Amino acid sequence: MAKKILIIEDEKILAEMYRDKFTQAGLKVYLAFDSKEGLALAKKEKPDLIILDILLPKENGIVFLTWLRKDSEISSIPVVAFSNYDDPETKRQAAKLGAKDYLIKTSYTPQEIVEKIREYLK
Amino acid sequence: MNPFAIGAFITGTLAAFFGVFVYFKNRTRMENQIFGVMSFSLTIWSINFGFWQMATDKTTAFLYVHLLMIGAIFIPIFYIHYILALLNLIQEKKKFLIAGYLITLIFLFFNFTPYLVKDLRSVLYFPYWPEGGVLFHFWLLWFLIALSYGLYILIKKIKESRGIKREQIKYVILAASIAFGGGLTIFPLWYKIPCPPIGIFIIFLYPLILAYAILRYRFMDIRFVLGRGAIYTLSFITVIASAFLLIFLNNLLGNPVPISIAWPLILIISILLFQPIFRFFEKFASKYFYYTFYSYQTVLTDLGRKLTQVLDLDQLSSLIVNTLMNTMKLDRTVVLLREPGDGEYIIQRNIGFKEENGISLVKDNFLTVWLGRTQKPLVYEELSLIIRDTTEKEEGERLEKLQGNMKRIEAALCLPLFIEEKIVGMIVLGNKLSGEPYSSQDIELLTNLANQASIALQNARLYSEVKGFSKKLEREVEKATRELKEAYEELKKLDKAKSEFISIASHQLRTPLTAIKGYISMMREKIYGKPPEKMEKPLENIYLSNERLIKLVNDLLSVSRIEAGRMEIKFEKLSLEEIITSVVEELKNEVKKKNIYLNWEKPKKPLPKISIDRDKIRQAIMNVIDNAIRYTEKGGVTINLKILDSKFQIQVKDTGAGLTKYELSKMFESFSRGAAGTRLYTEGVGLGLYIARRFMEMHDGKIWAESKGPGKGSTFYVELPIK
Repeated sequence: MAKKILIIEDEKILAEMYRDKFTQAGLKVYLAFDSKEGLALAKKEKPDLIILDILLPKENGIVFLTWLRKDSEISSIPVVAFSNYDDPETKRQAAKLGAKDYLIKTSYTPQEIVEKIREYLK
Repeated sequence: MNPFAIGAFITGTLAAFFGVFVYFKNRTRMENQIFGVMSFSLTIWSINFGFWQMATDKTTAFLYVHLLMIGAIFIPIFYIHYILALLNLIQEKKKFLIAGYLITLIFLFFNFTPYLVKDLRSVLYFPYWPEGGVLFHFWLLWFLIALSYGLYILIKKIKESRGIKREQIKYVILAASIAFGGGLTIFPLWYKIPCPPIGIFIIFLYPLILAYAILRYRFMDIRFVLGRGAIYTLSFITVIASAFLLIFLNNLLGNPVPISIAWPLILIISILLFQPIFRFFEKFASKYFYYTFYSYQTVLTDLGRKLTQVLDLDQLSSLIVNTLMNTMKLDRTVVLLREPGDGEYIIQRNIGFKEENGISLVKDNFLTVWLGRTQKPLVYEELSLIIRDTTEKEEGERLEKLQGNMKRIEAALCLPLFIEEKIVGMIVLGNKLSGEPYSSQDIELLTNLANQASIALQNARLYSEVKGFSKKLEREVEKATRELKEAYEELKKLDKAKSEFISIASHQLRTPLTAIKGYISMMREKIYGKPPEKMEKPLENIYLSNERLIKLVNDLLSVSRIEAGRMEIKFEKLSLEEIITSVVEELKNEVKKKNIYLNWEKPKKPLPKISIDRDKIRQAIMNVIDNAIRYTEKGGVTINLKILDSKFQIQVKDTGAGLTKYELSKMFESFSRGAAGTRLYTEGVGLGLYIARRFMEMHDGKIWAESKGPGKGSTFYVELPIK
């Protein structure tokens, strides 16, 4: 069965681009454009991995992480922070809240991201 | 010669001398004129007294007695006249004076008649002593009345007068008493009472003291004079008495020492003894008699000592004013000090003067100029004499104005304070509560005190100035620091805003860059179908350009973080070798495209791991190697790693463009440090090497480059301490 990936990303172009790539790589992709939507979708679909943007409208990715950790239903889902916001403090917070990694988008091609996801899903 | 004759001649000569002297000193003053004639009458009396004493026959003696009587008859009325003139009472006592002159004329008229002097007879050891006639008793009565009356008005007036006048009266009383006492010894013999006229030896003091009282405008303290005089007399009597005692004893023992030797011997002993005896009496007297005078001096000497111990200006001036006022018993005192700059006076301490009066004397600078010229204290009572002696009209007027001013504010003495002959201030003293004037001792003491006070006040002022200055300096420094801090805070705010701007802008830039990177790489992966072969190269170029842009944004972010001090460092034990290998791996494609070589000369045996921040060291090494590749068109780049002392050294040697000296000195600086960065590189903004340098510094490492010049290639060195 195809693995479920939830992408929480407010930039539509990027979200769609990764969806195209991940789908083509054989993953089942769900898109959410803000934290609340992401949380609802996560509860509904129980994805195998969440790709989380940090700079989101209204509640940011860090807030999403705290919600997630509080909700026992979904708190064990692995999250990878995926943002262009390269800030040490935010990185620390994300790590504290259990993010598996903090990737800077511009450093990776979609193919490299897929490879990373495969690793996390192992 | 008869000793009484000698005494009389001395008195006569002195009386004549002082009479003439005082008269010519100021002929226009009535006081001086009358003193002149009075001295003349005294001269006539005493000279004829002398000749009478020398007379060998009765006729001659009688003649001189008549002549001396002429002088004697005039003495009482001139004496009265003199006192009235001195006390300004002539108008008031005109009738008495006229009556006195009439009485005098009557006695003069009877002088050569037996009514006044009946005969001469032998009394005691005087062969020709006169015998009074009927009128003589009346004349003697008149004489005594006149002298007593004179003394009476003097004593009465002394209570009302102040200052110099008072002192003058004191001296006149002294002189009159001496004359009176001396004169009284002359008369007993007229009544056959065997009392020798020894008064003749002290009458010479009469013109002497009076002359002093008229001529001097500042007196010796009379207590001091009397005290000294008494001590001299006492010492003298003691010495003479001892001498006579020795002679008497010598005589009693039957002259064991011959008289011819005894006298000179005793003379020598007496002379030698005089000084110690004088000192003994002086000590004795100062202890018991004029104790007050002595302590007064002590207090002022004490003040001098205290002055050197106080450094506070206010305290010091209070000390001066209080001591002066308490010791000399003054009604008012003010200390004025001059400002160092404009020389303007300020009231430092004032007791008794009205505030505006305290400073009024120095409103114009005449007093200052005057004191500066005379270099001594100015006494109010001397001013009239100074004015009289002044020949310059303008100066006279100004002195008169000053006199009026001093009188108005009741200032008696201006004591200038000098530092190196320049006036730094003055102490203005009021009158003594006792009404006594300032004596010579006072002035001398005050002058000495002023010298000490000036130095002390000057020191105090310098001290307070230095203190004030340091306080001011402190305030200035504080203010400057505050301003600097504010400016710094402002700058910091601006700087933070700048960093934040760069940070936000960079993040915003990254989103489209991510999209471009993602889509191009997916296109090249043929996810959207196989693109025409012709497109492969352009797609790659777009991809590489985009990578460059991404790197540029990363550099900008790094720089802004470095400069905002927000760059964090995370140490791990890592193999430098591995990091270099991964960088070389990443850059392989680029090198291949440029057709140059990239030799990574790995060390022969593995080197130890060191404590470093992976990302930063990787970025630094990447930047250095990338930089070398970028400027190398032919040949290639060689990398090696070795241990030198306790350091790792990476060498990145290229065969590229080489560097000028200027470039060598500027290339590790950020673009924000000057225009050089932007001028140096056509591609990028040259932040890479700056970032590399900062990252190395965070690791206590070093980075530098060497080059033999443009076109001759360059070598970059990176050094990291083994930790």
